[in-house]
Amino acid sequence: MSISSSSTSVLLKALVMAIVWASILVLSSPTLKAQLVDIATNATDPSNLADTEPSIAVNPANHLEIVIVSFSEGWGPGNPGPIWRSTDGGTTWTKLFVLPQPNPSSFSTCDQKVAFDASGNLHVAQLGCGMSPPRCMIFRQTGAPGTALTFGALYGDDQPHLDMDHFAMSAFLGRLYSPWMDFSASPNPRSMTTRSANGGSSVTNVGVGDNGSFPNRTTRVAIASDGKVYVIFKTREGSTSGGFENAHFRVRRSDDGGVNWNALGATGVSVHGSGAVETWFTSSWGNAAKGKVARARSSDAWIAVDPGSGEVYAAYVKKDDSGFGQIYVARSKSLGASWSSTRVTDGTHHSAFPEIAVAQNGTVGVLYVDFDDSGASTIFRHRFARSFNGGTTWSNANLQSMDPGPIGNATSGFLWGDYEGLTAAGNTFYGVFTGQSIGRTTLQLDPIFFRRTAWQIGINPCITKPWLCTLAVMKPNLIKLECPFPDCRVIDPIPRNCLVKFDCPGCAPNGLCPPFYNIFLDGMEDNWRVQLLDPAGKVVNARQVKTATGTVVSFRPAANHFRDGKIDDYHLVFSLGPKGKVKTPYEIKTRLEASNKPFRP
Amino acid sequence: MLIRILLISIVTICFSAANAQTRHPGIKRTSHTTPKPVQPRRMNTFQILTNPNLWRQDFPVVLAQLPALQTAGESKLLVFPDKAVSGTPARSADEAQNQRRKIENAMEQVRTNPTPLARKLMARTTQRSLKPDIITKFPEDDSARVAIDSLQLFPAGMRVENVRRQLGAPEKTTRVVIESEGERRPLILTLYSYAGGAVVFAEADIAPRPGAVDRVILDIPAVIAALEKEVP
Repeated sequence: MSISSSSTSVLLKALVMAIVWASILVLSSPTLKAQLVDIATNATDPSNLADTEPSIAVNPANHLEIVIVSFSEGWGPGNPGPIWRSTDGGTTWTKLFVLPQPNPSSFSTCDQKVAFDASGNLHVAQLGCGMSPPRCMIFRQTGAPGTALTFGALYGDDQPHLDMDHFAMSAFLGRLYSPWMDFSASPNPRSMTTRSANGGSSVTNVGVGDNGSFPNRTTRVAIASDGKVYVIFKTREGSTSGGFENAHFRVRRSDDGGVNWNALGATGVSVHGSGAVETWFTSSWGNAAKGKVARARSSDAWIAVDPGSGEVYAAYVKKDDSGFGQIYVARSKSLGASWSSTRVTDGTHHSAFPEIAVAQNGTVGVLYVDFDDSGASTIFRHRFARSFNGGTTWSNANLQSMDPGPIGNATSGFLWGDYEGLTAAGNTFYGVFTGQSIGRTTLQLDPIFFRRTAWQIGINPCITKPWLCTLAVMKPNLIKLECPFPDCRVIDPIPRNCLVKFDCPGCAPNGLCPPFYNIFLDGMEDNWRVQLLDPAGKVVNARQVKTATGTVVSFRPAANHFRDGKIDDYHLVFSLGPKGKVKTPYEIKTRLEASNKPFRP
Repeated sequence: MLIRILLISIVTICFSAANAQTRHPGIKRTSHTTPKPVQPRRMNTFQILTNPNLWRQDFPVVLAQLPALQTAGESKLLVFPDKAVSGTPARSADEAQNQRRKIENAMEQVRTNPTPLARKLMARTTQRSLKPDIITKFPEDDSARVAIDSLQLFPAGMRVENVRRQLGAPEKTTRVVIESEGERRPLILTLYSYAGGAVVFAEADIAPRPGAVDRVILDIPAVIAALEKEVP
C-alpha cells in the first residue's frame, strides 16, 4: 500500500494543525485557581507595612498597565507618597513615590482610590490626613507615566472614591466622579459626589444621599458606557444586634454628568425593595474570642454597570434566614428603576466587604470576605464569585484563607480596611486584597493581586494572558474580528449568536434534540482559523469544510449540552491565520443551517 | 512680682481605655499583643527619662510638671517632638478649656507649694514659663485636647532603632487602633513599652517614612511613683 505525496502532505498538515491547536487550546477547569501575586517584596516593602484598604485600576488604553494604592508609606516634605504599578499585566510590580505632599499640615496619604481616564492618564483620589476639611483632592497625571502627579482642588472629607468616564460614546467622556461622606452635614451625615471635567483641577460638590431622616454611609459610584452615572449609598436606620443595623441601600442616577441626581426620583430606588435589610455596622467583625477582628461599617455595598448592555448591578449585605450576613447582588435591566436580587453566598458563613465588577462579555464578578470561627481561631477567607448568566447563579472560589493571629502587622480592629479592590477590563477581572504574604521573609499582611478570566470556558491564553482575548463584534448576519496582538483569540459564544441572529433549534426535555448545526463563515480565507469548544472548554471534533466562499463548521451538539432546551455555551474561537494582519478588522458573513446530516459540499 | 517661672504646662493624658470610652465614646481603642523575645537592659525610669541621647532641652521642664498634671487628674501625657498633649480627649472645646484651667491651677499650686518630687525635678532644670493651650481638633480623632507647644522635647524623626540602641529591646510590643468618628484611615500605633509600661515609645503607621518615633506616652502615676524612688 502506498501513500501519495499529496496524501502525506495533507496528513502532515493535519498533524501539525492538531499539535498547534493542542498547544493553543490547553484545557482547564473553571475552578482553576486564580493567579495570586504578592505585589510587595522584601526590597519594595522593607518596613513590612500592612498595605491595607487597597484599590485597583487598569489602564483602558493598555491593559498591561495596572495601578494599586494601599495604606503604606505616608508623605512628607520631599517625601512623596507611593503607588504600586505594573506594566506587565500584574506579574511584577514596582513602588513609585509620585504623590507629593499637598500641604505641610498633612503627614500622610489616607483614604484613597485610583482610576484611569480614556487616554491612560492616572488619577488618584486622596484624603490628606492632618489637614482640616476640606482635605480630599484628586492627583492627576500631567507628565510621563510613573512620574510625580499634580494635585487639584480641595473638597469634602472622608472616604473619597473615584471613577472616570472613559467611554467613547459618552457625552461626558473624561468626567471624573468622586463620592465621599460629609460627616458635618445636617441633619445627618450625607453621601456626596464631586464632579470635575478637568481631572480634579476644579471641582463641584453635589449632595446625593437622602439624609433627611437617617445618616448615610457607604457611598460608591459606577459609570455606564452611555455616560449615565449611578451612586449607591445606605441609610442607617438603627442598630439591631450582633453588629447589624437596619438599612436601605438606595441608588440614584444622573443623566447629565453629575449635575442633577433625580433621574430615579428625589430619594432614589431601594435595590432590595421597600423593606429594610439588616447589614453590618461593627468594629468587631469576626469572633473576638477567637482572634483578631475587622471593622465593617462602610463595607457593605458596591455598584457596577455592564459596559455592553448597560444593566446595573449592586452588591450589598443582608442578614437573611440563614442567620448570617450574606452577599446579595441586585440586577436592574431598567436603568435602576427596578431590581431583582439573588444571593451570592451559600448561607453558611458571615460575609461582608463586597466589591462588584462586570466584564465586557457580561460576566459579573464579586470579591468578598467571609469567616469561619468553628475552629480554635477565626479563619478569614477572601473569595471571588462569578456569574455567567447575569447573576442568576454563582460559582464561588476561595482566593486565600488567613488566620491573622500570627501575623505581626495585622492589627485587630482594622485588618484589611473598609474595602478592597476589584475592576474589570475587557474580559478579565483584576482584583487586590490585603492578605497573607506570599514568599516574604517575615509573615505579614501584604497587597495580594489576582486576575481571573471572565470566560466560563478555559482557554489557556485567556487565562495566562487575558489581554490576548477579545469578544467578536456581532452585526446582522456577520461578525467582526480584529486582533490587537499577534497571538490573540477572538471569542464568539454561539448562544449569543442565537439570541441575536441565528435561529437555533432547541431540545425540549425528553424530546428529540436537533441534529447538526452547520455554521457558515464566509470570507475567512487564510486570514483566520477557527476552532469550536464545548461548554467545558473541550475541543469539539467538529468537521470543517472549505467551500468556495469560506468555511463551514459542522457539528452535532451533545444532548447533555442543552440547557433549558437551548444550546449550551459552545464557543467559536478564532485566531489569526497565515495571512491575517494584526489590528485589521475583518467582517465574516455568518449563518446557521440546521440539518439532519453533517455538511457536505 | 509674679514670676511665672516655671512651668507649666502640659498636658497629658491619659487615662485608661475604659475611661476613654466613657468620656469620648466615639473613639474605639483595641489592642493586640505581639509576643516577642525580649532582653531589656536594666534601666530604671529615671535613667530612661534623662538619657541625653533621647531627649532635647525642654523635656526636663515638662517632666517637672508631672506632679501638677497628676493633681489635675491627668493620667497620661503624649510627648511629641515639639509639643506635649493631654491624653484625655475632650468632647468639646469648652470641656478642654475647663481642663486647661484645671491644669494651669494645679501647676501654679505645685509651683508655690511643691511636693518633694516636684522640688527635686524643678531643681534639675531651667525654669521657664509654659502656657497650656487648646487643640480644637486633634488630628487622629478630632477630639479637643489640652496641649503645650513650641517645645523641643525629642528629635523629630528619631528612629525606633535609636531607642533600642539606647534602652535595649522593649519589654513588650503591642498595637493599638485609634479611630475617629468617621471612616477615614485610623491611626495604628505600635507601642514599645519600657519601665513596666511607664514609658512607651510609639511608632505610627501613618508617617512619611516608617520607623520613626511618633510620640512617647508617659504613664503619669507610674512615672511619678518610680521617680519618687529613683531621683537622687
